[in-house]
Amino acid sequence: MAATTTALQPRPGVLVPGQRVNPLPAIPWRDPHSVPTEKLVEFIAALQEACAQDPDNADLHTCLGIAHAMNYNVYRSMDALERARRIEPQNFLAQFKYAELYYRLRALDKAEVETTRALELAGTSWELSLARRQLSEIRRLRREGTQKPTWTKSLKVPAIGFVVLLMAISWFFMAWK
Amino acid sequence: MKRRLSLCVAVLCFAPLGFAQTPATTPAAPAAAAPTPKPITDADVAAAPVPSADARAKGDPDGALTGTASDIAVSDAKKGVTISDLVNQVGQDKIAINFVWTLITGFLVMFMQAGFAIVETGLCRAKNANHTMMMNFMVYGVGMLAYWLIGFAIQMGGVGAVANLGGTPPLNAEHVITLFGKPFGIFGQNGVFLVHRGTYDVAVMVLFLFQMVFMDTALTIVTGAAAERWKYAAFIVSSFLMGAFTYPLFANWAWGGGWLANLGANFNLGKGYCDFAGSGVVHAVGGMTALAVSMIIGPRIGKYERSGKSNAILAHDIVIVLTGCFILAFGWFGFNPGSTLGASSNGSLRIGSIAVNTMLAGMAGSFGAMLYMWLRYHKPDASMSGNGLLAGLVAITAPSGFVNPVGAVIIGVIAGILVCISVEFVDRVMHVDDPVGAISVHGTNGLWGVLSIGLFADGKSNYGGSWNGVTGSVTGLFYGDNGGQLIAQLIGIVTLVGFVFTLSFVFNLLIDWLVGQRVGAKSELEGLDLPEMGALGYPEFELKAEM
Repeated sequence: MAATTTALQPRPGVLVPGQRVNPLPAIPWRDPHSVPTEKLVEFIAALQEACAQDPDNADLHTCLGIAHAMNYNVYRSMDALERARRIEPQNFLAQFKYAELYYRLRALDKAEVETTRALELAGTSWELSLARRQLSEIRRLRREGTQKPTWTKSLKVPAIGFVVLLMAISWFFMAWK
Repeated sequence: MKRRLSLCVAVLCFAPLGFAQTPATTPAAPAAAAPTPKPITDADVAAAPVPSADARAKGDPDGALTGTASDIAVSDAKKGVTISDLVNQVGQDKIAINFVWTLITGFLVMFMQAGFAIVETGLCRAKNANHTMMMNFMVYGVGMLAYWLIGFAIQMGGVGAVANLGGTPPLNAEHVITLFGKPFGIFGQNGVFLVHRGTYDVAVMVLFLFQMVFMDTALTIVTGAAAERWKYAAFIVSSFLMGAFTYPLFANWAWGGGWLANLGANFNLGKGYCDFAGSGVVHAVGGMTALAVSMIIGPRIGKYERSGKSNAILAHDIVIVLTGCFILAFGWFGFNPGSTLGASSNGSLRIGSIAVNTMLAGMAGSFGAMLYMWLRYHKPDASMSGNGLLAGLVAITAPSGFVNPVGAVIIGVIAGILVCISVEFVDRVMHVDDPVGAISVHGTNGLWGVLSIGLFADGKSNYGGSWNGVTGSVTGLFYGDNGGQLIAQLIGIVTLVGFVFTLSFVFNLLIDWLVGQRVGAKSELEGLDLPEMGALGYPEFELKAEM
């Protein structure tokens, strides 16, 4: 499979009035959103084959990640998008879709970090507006929703502190009696 | 900030010492000579003044004429009121007070279902609101049917006479086996359908209502831990089995005359396993089952990364979460004080201190949790403060009838801190996804509540001179017990973790094989409202998390 074609279809093109819209390109160079649900599995298989033949193509892996997400297979989508980011760390779409995945899962802390990274990678005004819109929506949800803490700190200190507290209370009662 | 907070805490802790008042000395009253008792006769009783019909016909705006000797039921109209009638009336009044008390507190406990429903729904994502509410709504009916069918008979079928409710003699058949030369009550046998073997009885009905709402509280704990990915059909089957078997079995052992309650009488371990209102029987059983179900169905998609790192998933409505916590705190005034099963009998006036203990421990729990989160994560954290309140209430449920206010506050503060540490532990170390923190609130703190009796029971409670058939008051290690009570409580904890968790795990594993416990990934990501329930919780809201 020749993988020398240009980038993915979702990137915007300016339509000139009267210009004929080209039919959708063949699998795998096709926007996953335009693939009918019943053909999604077939589309994913074709993309996987293409990825195997061209393992260093970040766009292909991004496309596969989007397709997996549309097929409700989150962890495979995550894997594909992470691979795309590793291959081409400056790829806006890979980074943006990775962030979007977390946003849609409502894991907002992670989504905010990743969307901010995508914002830094944005190279066109369209990319910039996409990332900004997502970031503002994430921040709105964080502001208006019920936040749960991200458990990132060591448990040792509170655990030891808790045991000390129990010992102090025991000592207090023993001494009191 | 930390230093300022620490200073505030220190001031709050030591302030009461500065303001402590010296108790006022009261002059000793002179000893008065006791009057010679004069026996009352039927004639005295019959001569008691009653308002005339004319006076009553004019109305009774100040209530002075209503409720007099004329309202006493007489056995023989010709004789009028006799001492025998009077005594019978007193007996019936006592039981009536206890019936009304138990029923009203039972109604309060029933209202806790609403609190659980909105706490859990608020802590889930909006796309699952209908599903979470429906689970909490239907667990009431499903659990009740299971309990009516067989659960109540297993739990209370051999409890014997419950004196506060006028005796429940039909509940007299406990299946007993003999081990180590001692009788071990395993399950009750009377009361199936509430008509079996004479159980169509007013006292049995009151007992059923009160115990049923307790059982439903245990069941609704599981729906929180398994929210956002539990298949509705599996939930129905799982709840039915829990209401019919898992809960009633342990409840029989603790409250229905089973072997745990008799550890004191049989093995001289304090007063046997004590659990005044159900930290173990209700909350730890719910928590252990929640743990089993959560382990079987696995975490929500996106909760953990491939590396095992946990992602915090946003809940959708803190307003209803905290409103639900308030409803629960209100309902808990039925849960704990109601567990005396009466307001008019030996020791039942402790309902006052039980209610105060409940209040103190709950708010101490929310204070402990808020302080912990503030110091550790620099925000007071509303959802964890709410969980702290519930943790304090859960922890005080078992000891509420046996401890003093100081013990209650200490138990509550520890529960508030413990729930935060436990949530972190369950999430990060065990990698069990619990969207609402139910395992920590009810499981961990249920066990802590059970344990705390063995430490903090002050030996001042006196419910008719004995508890679980052993003379004396329940006393913990800190108040001079030899450790026997603590061992009895530890045996209860081992049983909860070893037996209840295992039985729940096996039941739910079977359901997983037969029905499937988890919804498909597509349903989960779209939100369970449409695929599982057929209607959105918030149909006119814009939910943007569609995959």
